Amino acid sequence: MGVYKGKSMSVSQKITWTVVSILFGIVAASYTFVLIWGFVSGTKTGTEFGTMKNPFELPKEWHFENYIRAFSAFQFDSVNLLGMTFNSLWYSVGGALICTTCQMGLAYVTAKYKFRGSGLIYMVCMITMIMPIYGSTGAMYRLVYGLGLNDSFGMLLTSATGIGTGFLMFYAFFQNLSWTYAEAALIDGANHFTIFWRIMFPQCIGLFGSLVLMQWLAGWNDYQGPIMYLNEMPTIAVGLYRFKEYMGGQGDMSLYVAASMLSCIPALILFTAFSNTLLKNMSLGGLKE
Amino acid sequence: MQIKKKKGLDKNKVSRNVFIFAMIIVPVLHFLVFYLYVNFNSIIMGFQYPIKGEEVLSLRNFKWFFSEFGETALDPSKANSNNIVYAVINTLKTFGINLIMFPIGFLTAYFIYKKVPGWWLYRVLFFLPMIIPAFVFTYAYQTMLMNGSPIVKFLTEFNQWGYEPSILSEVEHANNAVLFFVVWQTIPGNLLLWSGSLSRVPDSVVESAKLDGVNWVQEAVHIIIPVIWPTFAMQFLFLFIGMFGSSGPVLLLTSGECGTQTLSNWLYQQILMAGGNEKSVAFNRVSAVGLLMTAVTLPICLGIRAIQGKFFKDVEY
Repeated sequence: MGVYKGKSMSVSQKITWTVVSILFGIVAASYTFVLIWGFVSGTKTGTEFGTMKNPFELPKEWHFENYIRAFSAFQFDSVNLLGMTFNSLWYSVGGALICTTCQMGLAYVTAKYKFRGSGLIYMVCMITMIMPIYGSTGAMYRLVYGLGLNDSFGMLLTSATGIGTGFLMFYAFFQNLSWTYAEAALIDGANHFTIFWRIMFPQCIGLFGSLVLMQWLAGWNDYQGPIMYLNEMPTIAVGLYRFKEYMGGQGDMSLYVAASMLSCIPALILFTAFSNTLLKNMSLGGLKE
Repeated sequence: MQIKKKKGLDKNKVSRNVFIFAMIIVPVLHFLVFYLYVNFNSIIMGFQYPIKGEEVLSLRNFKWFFSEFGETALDPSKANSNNIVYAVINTLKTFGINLIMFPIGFLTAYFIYKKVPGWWLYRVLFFLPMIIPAFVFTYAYQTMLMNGSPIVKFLTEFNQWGYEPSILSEVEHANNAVLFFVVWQTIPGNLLLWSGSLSRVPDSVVESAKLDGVNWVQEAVHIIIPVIWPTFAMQFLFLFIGMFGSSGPVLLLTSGECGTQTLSNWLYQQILMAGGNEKSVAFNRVSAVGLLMTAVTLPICLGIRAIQGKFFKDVEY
């Protein structure tokens, strides 16, 4: 790969690199600033927020205990931040595992087994992915509430889709995976479940983990779905939205900011730890019809 | 012996079929219920209108949509979250920004791939908009744009507004502020997918191009893009598939008020506001507007897909 080597660069390239570096620096600094601002603002008092004239002001006193207090004091409908964290966890982790497992299973059998309907399944997956469908929110709402899936663990059923970018990635992966080990295992008497879990799954664990992490992140930060369907089992996102909506920005906003910042921590830790694995495993092939 | 062999074969076939069935049954049921049934029902709902609790076949939802585009539709005093004309216009504006940001997102990933100074830091920091919940970014942005903030003071002086506006609460400024937020958040683009694809570009191809004396623009256009073409084409297609879904976090920034509404947020808020009243006409209007959006987007997407397939070939490496 060609890399930045100052001495071997032309003048125009040096100028380009300098401009890019400055622009990147400004953008990266703005993102980092939000993170730092959030953590600092979370230590202000509610009164300081109420009377704030300059958002860049530092706290008069640093109330780090806000971050501990938020766990019990930040409440919505008698569910505190701990309860919301639990709801966010089952919704995001459960949804990510179910969705990724379904996509993996569907992609595996479609790529590796020829059976009546396999071509149809692949075609349907492709068509639905390039089909721009809008406006089904109302029909979905009626179905979810009609089946009583709202405000329950039943919401996880809505995640059991085999379609999506994950399907494409798994399909491309399994198509390029040799069938030799599976054949040998079949001769040795292994059944298809054993072949999948013992031979195939370990080979795609990197991709599986990366997709679970991405799906988890999407579920953890999702606010539109939970606001519509999980009002009695509020996730952190629902709690934050309702808190701000009902208080109209007049409540103890230090608690709001502290709770928001606490919700960033799991994502920041996991992403920093697995960023290299993620970057290695995520690439998208084309659509072949 | 022969019978035993036959039984063995049958057993293997049954085991194979049971395995396939177990792997596909959940996603297939999900597709039938949550995709096929929901979308079919949505189409029907678009052609229904609730009268005295009964839903009758009608084109009134479509007529309502077109009648909204009247002379006073863009009246700032009517720029509330229900105004669908603002929603259509703002969606197209946001889509335009997404189109502009598409190559910028690619270039961002490309320069990180080329290891500009500090690339290792940008590779982490540029993921922050994806990692940090929208609540944090939107609240920080709202606070930065509050009255009395140095940023607002600077903008007031720079633009010579003559007074310090509440930027996110005034029709003249709110949508520009939302669009700026979209630009700010989408600079890194889909860094994860671009980076994943770029990391698979063979070093030998880039090195040989370098020996031939190509500059970075030639390398990006003539070497990198053709090699990562499948990703490029897919991302571009997805951009158009989501054309009418283009929106910033309008719900969190302004709740669609002050002329900032977008179509996807309008669809969402209509259902949210209708809430428990499932007989509300909002459900039917949302379905009808959705159908119109699909009808416009579908031929565009199929056209792009056809062009991509006809004029560009995937590169094997």
